[in-house]
Amino acid sequence: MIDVENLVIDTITNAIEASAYSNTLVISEYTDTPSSFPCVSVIEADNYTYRKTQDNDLKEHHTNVMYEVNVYSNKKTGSKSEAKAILEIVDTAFQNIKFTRTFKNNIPNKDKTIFRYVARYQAVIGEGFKSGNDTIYPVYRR
Amino acid sequence: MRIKITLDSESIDNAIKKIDRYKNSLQKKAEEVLSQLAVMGMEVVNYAYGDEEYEISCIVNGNNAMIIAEGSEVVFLEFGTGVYTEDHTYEMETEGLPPIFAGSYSQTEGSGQFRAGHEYWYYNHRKYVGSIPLRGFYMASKEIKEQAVNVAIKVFKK
Repeated sequence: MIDVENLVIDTITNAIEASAYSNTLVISEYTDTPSSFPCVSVIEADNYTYRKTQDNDLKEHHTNVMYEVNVYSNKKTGSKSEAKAILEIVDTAFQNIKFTRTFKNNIPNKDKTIFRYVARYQAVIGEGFKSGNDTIYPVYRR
Repeated sequence: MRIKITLDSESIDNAIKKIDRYKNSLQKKAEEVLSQLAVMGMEVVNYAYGDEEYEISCIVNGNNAMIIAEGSEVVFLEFGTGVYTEDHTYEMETEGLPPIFAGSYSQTEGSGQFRAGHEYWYYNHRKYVGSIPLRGFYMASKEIKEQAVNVAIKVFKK
């Protein structure tokens, strides 16, 4: 299986840590009660074989991935602008690695004291190849 | 579609009629493709959302089709209920509620801190059920993309 989850989450985490919102908690698993706010969850919500490039042995050469991002802010004032600013950082980081944003909206949170944005990003990832000590994964917009 | 033609006016007229009929059938076939894909998408949403409370329908209008899910909790079904805070929130404070109520799962109304099983929780005397994202519409769009060409081939071959 082509697995780029750690690379993607590291990229997003690094982008947030390098920003003015470095205090943001980044999580990669579903949680109902984050330990601090603001909080960003980056979850690999789907990873399925790109069938058109499977070979005769049904071996995978590319995979479709979808990442779902939730940005939460619990500030009493300015929660929307804080969430939006963090989402912009996340969005730029995803664009830099050639992911396509397929959805972004303000979705109500069950606990209405917390402001919430949801975004989805998709891409087709190719097989990794070695370049020195690194493994490079080509990303295709589809 | 194949049209045999000979070089006389009657045959050419027949060929023109056949082409016109084929042309008129294209829109109907396009709508049939859309209907089949919309129904397929509805089934995927139904499967993902399971027994939750919502109503689903689809509308096909010309070259557009829409799958519509209606219900007060539909957004939460698709994207999950989000997160809760265990702080004493501003809303709770103004309502005179004690701390650690929101975000606390409980088996009985009032015992807010009990989290075993994470089955449901109470806030302001209302029972809430937290849910993870079921992503029915995402799954439906994926299925529609995968099946679109196959459905079109079947319908246009008729």
